[in-house]
Amino acid sequence: MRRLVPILMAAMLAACGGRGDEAAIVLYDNSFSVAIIADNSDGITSPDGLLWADGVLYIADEGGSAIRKLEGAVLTTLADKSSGIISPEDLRLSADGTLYFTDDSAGGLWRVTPRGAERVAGSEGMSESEGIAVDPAGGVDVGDGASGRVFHVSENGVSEELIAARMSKPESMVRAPDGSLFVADNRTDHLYRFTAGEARREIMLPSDLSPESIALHGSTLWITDSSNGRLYRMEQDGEPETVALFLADFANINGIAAAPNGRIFISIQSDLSAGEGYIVALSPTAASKR
Amino acid sequence: MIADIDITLFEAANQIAGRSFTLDALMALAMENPLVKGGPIAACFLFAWWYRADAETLAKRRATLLLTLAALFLIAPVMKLVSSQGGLSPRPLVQSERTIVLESGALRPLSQVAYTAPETGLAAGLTRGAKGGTVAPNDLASFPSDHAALFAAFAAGIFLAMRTAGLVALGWGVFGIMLPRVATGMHWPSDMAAGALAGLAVLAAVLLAGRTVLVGPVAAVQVWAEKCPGWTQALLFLLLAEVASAMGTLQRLAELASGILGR
Repeated sequence: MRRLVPILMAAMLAACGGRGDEAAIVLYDNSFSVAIIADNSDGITSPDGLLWADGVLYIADEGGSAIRKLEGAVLTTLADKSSGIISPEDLRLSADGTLYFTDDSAGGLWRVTPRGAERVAGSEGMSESEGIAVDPAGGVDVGDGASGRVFHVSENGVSEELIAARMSKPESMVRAPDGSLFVADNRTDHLYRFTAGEARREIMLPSDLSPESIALHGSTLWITDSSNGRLYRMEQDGEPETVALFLADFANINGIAAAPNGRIFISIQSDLSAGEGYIVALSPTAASKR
Repeated sequence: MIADIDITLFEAANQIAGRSFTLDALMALAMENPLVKGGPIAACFLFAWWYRADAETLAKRRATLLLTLAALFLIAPVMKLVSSQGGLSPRPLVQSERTIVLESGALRPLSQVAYTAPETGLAAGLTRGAKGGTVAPNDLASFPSDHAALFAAFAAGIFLAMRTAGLVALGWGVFGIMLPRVATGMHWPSDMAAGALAGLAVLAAVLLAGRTVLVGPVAAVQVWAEKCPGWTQALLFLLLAEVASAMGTLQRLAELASGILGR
């Protein structure tokens, strides 16, 4: 017995060796592969909004109070807290190449300049700016989480209410090619589509879907659900379909961007206060491209 | 290598699931109903406790049974500690989907297993959830099995006290408790082996203590049990009911206490 105890204890400890780390992804669509494209070792912290444009991934690095871009494997910081940024939320590129972003702590609308970033519109009325979309007719639309309103900000920085209807937290917005505006309300878990003339149509979602960020790829709307760690794909007038489930340290999925080749980029905030996070990419496999 | 053996053994055990509603329902009953799950082993314990023998044999037997009971109440916290040290280990029913885990900063795909879900019971519900995008944190922590630790130690302790009752308890532990958990996709065979090993290690430590530092207290409890058979029987009933439910009440109380203290 005296010999048996240490042997059993040693065997028990040996059996406790790690079989994995603390994050997992369940991929329901076999036509995608998944890879980490950036993490803390690359220089990002806890990323939120993402934008893909012309081979560059723009990142609203909320944990690091910075706007960065990832081009290939090269990460560059475009603006940081020295410009007054606190919690960059989401970002969009206008037709003239200006990179605009929102900040849900500093408020207002911001743009990246060669010297960092500057505020385009003040935080009055937009104290918690969240969703952002470029208006094809000029200017930028901004959703405010404090008032629940969506504003239009012209190039000269004048803001006016775009949509009369109030929401609770217009967290993410995206323009469709037809000019209509999708707005995800993350507080009441609703998704709306506003067409010209402000006609509002609610897109019915399952009761357990809490839309965090949305992105369009063709006619497909991609939705992250940070409350449940789910990535959804939704065809026009179709039902949302779960593409992937992010678990444990990956569960808090936030921003999303779609590339023209079908790649989907997702930001993950593992621990915002500790500045930990990842960006993963879902890429269509060779078989699915054929 | 070990993972391959695990998958092969799992897929073999899973052959009995999803083929007959009756068998699935019986496995669900054995997994979810405390009386059916741990009741037979608790009955073996009481059988060994009361089965006639000379005074010396009875005293030795009851000392072993008392120490076994004490060990069982140590196993739950030990297993919590043990499972907190390991990484993610999705249940087989989760790994029937394409699962990728983060290991040392890189993503590693796990082998997707061929899995047939049972038609009814907890595993059937968890499988529906996993297919629909719902996986609870507990379903990513199957290694090692708490049930295997608890009931392997329970049955082994009875076996050390009395061979015949112990054999029945070990038989039920393997076929009534461990096999359904593997067959329905709740656990891997390695979860069971590691859990049983951990439970046996705790039991061995407590038995060793019982023969050294705890000789006095064990003898005192036995004297009290002789004097107060009514109280002894009532206490044994409560403690064994708790063990049979795999410490369900204590876990609930711990959650409540943690909730109250955390407010």
